[in-house]
Amino acid sequence: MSATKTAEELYTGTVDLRSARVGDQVGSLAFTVSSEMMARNAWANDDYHPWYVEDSPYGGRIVSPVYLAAFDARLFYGYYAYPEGGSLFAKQEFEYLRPLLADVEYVMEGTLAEIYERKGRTFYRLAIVVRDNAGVEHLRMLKTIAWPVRARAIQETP
Amino acid sequence: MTPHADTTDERLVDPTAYRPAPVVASQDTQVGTELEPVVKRVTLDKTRLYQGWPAARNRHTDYVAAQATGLREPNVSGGQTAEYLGQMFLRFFGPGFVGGRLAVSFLGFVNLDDEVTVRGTVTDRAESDGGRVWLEIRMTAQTQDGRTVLAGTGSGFVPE
Repeated sequence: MSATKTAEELYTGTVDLRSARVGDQVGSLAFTVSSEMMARNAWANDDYHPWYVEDSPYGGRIVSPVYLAAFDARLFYGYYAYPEGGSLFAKQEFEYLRPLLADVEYVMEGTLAEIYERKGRTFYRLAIVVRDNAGVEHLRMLKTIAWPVRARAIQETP
Repeated sequence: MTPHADTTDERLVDPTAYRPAPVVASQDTQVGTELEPVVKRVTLDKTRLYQGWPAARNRHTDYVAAQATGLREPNVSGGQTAEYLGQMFLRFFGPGFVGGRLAVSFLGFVNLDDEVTVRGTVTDRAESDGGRVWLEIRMTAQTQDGRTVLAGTGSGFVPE
């Protein structure tokens, strides 16, 4: 039996997206980006910045500025059920308060900040705060997810 | 004739090796300054490496999963292509990225073997009361056929 998992199988959320409300607390996710993960990211993107693969002025290798976009959807879909047909990532915003270090555990916590409709899709804007184990904020993010993948037909007004 | 007939002294340089950006944020940077483009070609191997293949099977790594979502073949994830903007952002601002911001909008699909070129320009400059210079850059990523697939802005203070 294979140990591989599809993206959908990694998501464990159960709350229907249609019932999402601004202010929903989607929970938290503890994570550690290892040095091996940063090396793999460097190989995949041919970005061998020494701060990722050797050392940085911040006391070790740092995590690349957008790396968390690779898996922060697990926070959103750890709460909401992954919709049939999937969804789209529309926008990602970052505010860097302090660098994130490789091999250090952090916790990300999310709150649904905004819901809006545009061109036949619903957009969900998740506000995420990343803290270290002492509770110090390192990063704030806004992740905007759009659903459905195929836009709904828009009712034209005469 | 040997298979290694090239007798010149020219040495090839690893095109993927890290080198500092020729244009970085400084006190003298002005609006309109263009950053060195970032150019990437994304192969199936690269997207699988990024996603963590073979453990990760999704529409970015696996043909069956991609076709289940209506795609002909896997495509490249937005997170991976956003890394190219992150590369430009960090190389330009250096330590000034701390305290800075980055925003990336995903505008179109990137297909396997697309060549993506990120171009960046300084679009705003301000000076704080304390004399610190703040800069904003605008970035766009286009494929070889001119499709804009990502757009973004980055901002931060010039490192002191």
